[in-house]
This record gives sequence, C-alpha cells and structure tokens, in this order.
Amino acid sequence: MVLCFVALFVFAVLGIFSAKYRALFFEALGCVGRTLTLRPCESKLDERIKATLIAHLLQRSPPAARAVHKHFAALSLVFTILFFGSMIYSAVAVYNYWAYGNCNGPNSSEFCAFDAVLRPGAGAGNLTAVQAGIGPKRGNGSIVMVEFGCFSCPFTRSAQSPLNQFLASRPDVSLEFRAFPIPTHENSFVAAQAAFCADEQGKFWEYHDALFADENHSRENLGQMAARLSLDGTRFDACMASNSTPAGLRVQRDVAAGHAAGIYGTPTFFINGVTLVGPQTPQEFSDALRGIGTSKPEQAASCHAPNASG
Amino acid sequence: MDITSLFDAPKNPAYFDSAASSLTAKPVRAKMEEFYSQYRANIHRGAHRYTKKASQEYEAVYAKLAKFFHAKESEFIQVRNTTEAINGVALGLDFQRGDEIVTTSIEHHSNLLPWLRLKEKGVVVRILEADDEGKLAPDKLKALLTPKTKLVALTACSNVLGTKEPLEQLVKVSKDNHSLVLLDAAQQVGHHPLDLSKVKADYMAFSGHKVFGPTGIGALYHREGAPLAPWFVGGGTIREASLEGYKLLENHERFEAGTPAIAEWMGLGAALDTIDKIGYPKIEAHEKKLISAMFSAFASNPKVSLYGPKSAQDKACALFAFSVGRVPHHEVAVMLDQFGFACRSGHHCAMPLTKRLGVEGTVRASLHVYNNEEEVRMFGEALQKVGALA
Repeated sequence: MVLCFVALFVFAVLGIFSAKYRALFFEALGCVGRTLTLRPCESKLDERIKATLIAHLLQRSPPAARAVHKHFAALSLVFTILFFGSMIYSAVAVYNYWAYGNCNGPNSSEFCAFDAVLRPGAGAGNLTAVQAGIGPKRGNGSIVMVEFGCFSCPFTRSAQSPLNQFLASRPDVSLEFRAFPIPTHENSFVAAQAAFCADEQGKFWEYHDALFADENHSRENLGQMAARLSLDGTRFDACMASNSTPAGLRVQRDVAAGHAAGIYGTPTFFINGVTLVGPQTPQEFSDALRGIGTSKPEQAASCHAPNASG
Repeated sequence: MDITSLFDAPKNPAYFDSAASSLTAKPVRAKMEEFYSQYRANIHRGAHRYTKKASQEYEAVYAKLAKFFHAKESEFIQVRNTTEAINGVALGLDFQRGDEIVTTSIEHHSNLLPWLRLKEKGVVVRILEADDEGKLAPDKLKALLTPKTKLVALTACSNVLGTKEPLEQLVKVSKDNHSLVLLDAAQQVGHHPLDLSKVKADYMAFSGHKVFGPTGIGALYHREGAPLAPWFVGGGTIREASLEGYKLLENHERFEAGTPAIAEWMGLGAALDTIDKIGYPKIEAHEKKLISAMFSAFASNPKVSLYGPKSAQDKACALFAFSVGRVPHHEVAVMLDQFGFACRSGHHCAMPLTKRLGVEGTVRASLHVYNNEEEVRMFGEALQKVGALA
C-alpha cells in the first residue's frame, strides 16, 4: 500500500529519536519493498495504520469513518502524492535558501519561514520603538499601541479580529495605525493612500475596516468604497490624484518611519516596549502589555518587506 | 471464591485471546518463584536437600496429572506443548506403508501436519469431514475406519469453532475398530473435565499455557500398554549404557531426555491445582453465561457472520470466530484492540478449515473465567461500531 512510503519516511525521522520507531521503520521498509514488487505487505503495517486511523474516526464520526474506509486506497494515494509533493517543494525551498538566501527563490521578497529558525534575531532584534501620536488613533485609552500594517497583507488582515477583541477588553488601550504597504502586494500603496484620504474626511477607521473586509483594492473599487461611506467623491479623487498629495506623502512618511524602525514585515505592533510581529492572540497582546515577552519576538508569519535589513 | 483474584486480568484491552494462550494464574507464578527462590536445583541429581526438594515437587506433578485425568502417574510424559506431543506420537509409532490414519477437517495444524508428513512413508491419511458447525459424527467416522486404520487423531474441541464434540462416542467407535486414538485436548482441559477412565483414548496431549500455566510446558498422556517409542534419547532416559548400546528406563523418564523444564512443570502442577480450586462446575457455569452473552451480542449485529455452532448448547467453550461484512479480519482485530479488546485474527493455524469456511481468515474472540458479562456487553458495542463500516 502506498501509505507505507509515507510511513517509511516518517518513521525514519522518528526513528532517530526512538527505538520503537526504528522497528516500525524497518517494518515500513519491508512493506515498501513488497509494494514495489507488487506483493502484499507481510507485516500488515499498512492494515494496522489503516485500522487504527479508522478506529479513531469511528469514535468521532461513523459516516466519515465509513467513507474513509471505503475510499482508503484512493485517499492514501492522494495523501502520499501531497506528502511527497510538499517534500519536493520543501527541498526546493531549502536549496533556494542555500543558493539565494531566500527560500522563495532569487529576487523574491516574500516571507521566508526558514528565517524564523535560521535567523532568529533577524529584523526583529533591530526594531526600535516608534513614537506615538502621528497616525490615526482608535479609542481613548492612555496606553497607545502602534500598528504598522499593510491593507493588502493577509497577515495584517487576519490580525484584525483578535486585535479588536483585545481592544474591546482593554478600554485603557488605544490603537494607532501607521501604513506600511508591502510593495510586492498589488495596490497596497493606493489602498493606504485611500485610507488617509478618508481620514481627511474624518472616516479613517470606517475605511480601514472596509479595506480589510474587501480584498479588491483596485482604484475603481477604492472609489466605490468611498462612495459607500458617503465620502465626498471629488475631494477623494483629488486626494488620490498622485502619490505626492498630502495623503500620499503620509504613506511615504510612515514607510520611511517603518524602515527606520527596522520593520521587516506586517503587521508589526509596538506596545509597552515590546515588539510583536505577525498576528497575535488577545492573550499575547495582554502578555505584552504586562511586559511579558521580549522585544525580540519569534518571527511569526507576516508579510515580508523587501527592503528590510533582515 | 473470587475467581478474578487468581489472575491479573488486563482491563484495557480486555483479554479475549485465551484460546491462543490463557492468562497465567497467580499461584502458578508463585510456585515457579518458590522453586527459583527456595530450592533451585536440578532434579534426580546428587544428595543435597535442594535437589531432593526439587525432585519431590517435580515428581508430585505426575501424581497431580494422574489424579486430574483419572490415569496413572507413569502414563504422563513431559513435553513442551501439544505440538511436540503429537509429533512425538507420529515419530514414536511404527507406521508402515499402507497404514491408515484418520484425522478431521477441523484440526489445528499441529494435529494435521505430523500425519500428512507420514504420507511420504506411504501412510494413507483419511479426513473425517465435520458438518458446517464443526460437529464430528461418529457414524461418519465409522464409515472411514478400516482394518488398516492404525490411528484416529481427533481434536477434543476445535480452536476455531469451539464446537462441543461427542468425544466418548468418537473414541468408542475407533476403539471398536481396534484403532489407536489420540486426542488433541489443548482447548478442552482448561474448560471441561476429561476423565480418561471413561474417554478411553490412547494418547492425549495438552499445553500448560492454555490452562492457566506457563508457556513451554505440556503433557502427553500415553495409555499403559499402547505402543510408543521415545523420539529422543539421551541423558536421563537410560537404565544403562555402554559403547555398544543402551537400555532405556521403563517409566516416563525414557521419554524425557536431558534436563527438563523443572519450574514450568511445577507451574503446570499449580495450574491444575488452580483449576481444582476453582472447580470445573464453576468454570463451566461461568463460561455458559459468557457464551450466552456473546451470542446475544452477535445476534444484535446483522453485519457479523458467526462461524461454528449457532446455539449455546453446542459450544464447548466461549470461543467465537467471526467476520464483519467484508472488512478484512486483521483490520477488525486492530480496531477492536483500539476499542479495548484483544482478539486474534487470521487462520488460527487451521488453514483447511478457514478455506472450508470460505474466508481468508476470521477474527476470534475467546474468553475464560477471568472475563465477565460487562466486558461482553462493551464488546458488543465495539462490534456495532465496527459494523458501521460493513
């Protein structure tokens, strides 16, 4: 059964740490050998894996167990292909990291997960705190948390829900937003500029929420968002006419400030002397507020800035 | 007496594999530990007190066997297990070309292969076919017997089907034909009494590990006067030896070459004591309840195919072979293990019978005195879950 191929690889790795898995590795090896020669697996490892999995499923959902049992051969084939596909993908990433310093290949500015392990101090350690009081502020709390975010960044977007939960639970904390559009994300700059244009008409946070609610940041849709929020269209269009309007300059100023602070990915939060990179849970925000955590947080999933030092 | 106090019965998974090997009773382990800790010595050697005590305890087991089976001490031979005992009879009888052996279609390989091997010597092996529930018919046996039938080798209870057999009649029919009779009692002794003064078999074999005893030990009963030559010779088997030849001992020792399994033999004696202590009536009554509960569990599950007897009165012991729809038997056993029941799967060393049943293998649940009805109820629930796949 093809699943033995996956088992062989998994038990080979686990076997480094445990004799129990070494024995299973050799069982899987025998199973692979017999599968390759079109003979049934003598050790019945494949049947054990299948039956154990289905027994667990039976405890939770008999219909799901029945379906998996019925189509197990096909499912295990798909799983095996995906497994080895991901292994090949990872191998290419490792090669890219070795050859180009970025797992996504030459000239890529996308976030590289290996940085978290191989360069734990990269970027985050060089962050310097930024001054509050420059960007739009949500809430009246005396403790100000500054967020550098990109409206087109999926990590910034996914950070919003837990962030809002945290803010709702802590009225003593207010949020200040600074724009840090990631250049490789389409329309990220104009989205940030549009938000500041809305700010000129007193509706920054409404527009901010709308941008995260709707991923379409084409120029046309940005205008429609403004219309839905009853912004003055003429003023909005004039504000968006070029990147050197006051709103455009605000974006550039924020980006420069972000670079100066050493920001390498979005979202990045500064709170109470602690820097947080990537989406956080409400508890993590609370811990940071209490001074728990470090100013060199783990490099969480974030949208990577191409010009960052790390 | 609380039977469960005599065993360390596991709870999860519950032990449902007693036909393969029963749990070892605590007094058995205690007896073996007593030997190792108090009088560890070889037997029948030297004059010191340890060897005397060890020899005394060792010899006492023959007396226990004699009492237990209503036979004579000298009629028992120590063997490793039932398989060795039956092979010993196959090697120890003087089979000639044209001799006939009758065995059955429900035998364990251990009571089939030794006879099939004799075909190489020109011995004819005839098979008594059991009915669909594994029942052996004395009249069918009678029809197979001829003046050349030297041996009838029968199981007292099938290790796959657990069918109650008409042992006394089967043996009588064979003896009326002046044939020797061998009983494979591996699945019988732990569950029902076997009175060899009534069931007049010439040879009877059983294993210690199926009767609450240790592994690696068993006994072969060899009726006084029935032919049997030692299949091994060596130390401990002779009256005298020279460079020209040797004279064998007259008693059972002539079959037991070399230093025997002393602790295990004492453990076997303690196992028989344990059965005596519980009492066969209590064992049979308890198993009757388990059999009834198991039949109820199977009856409520239409996805299960049960092999062998369909009614409780035809079951000799709480031993059930079954399959669940088309779910492979090994997978069913693994799932039952996950749900808390240690069952066996496969052909159970009875491939001809498995083929006759029309399957590649079955799952076998075999219970004993240390199991209980609550476990059976939960087993039924687990079986319902597995049945959802069928």
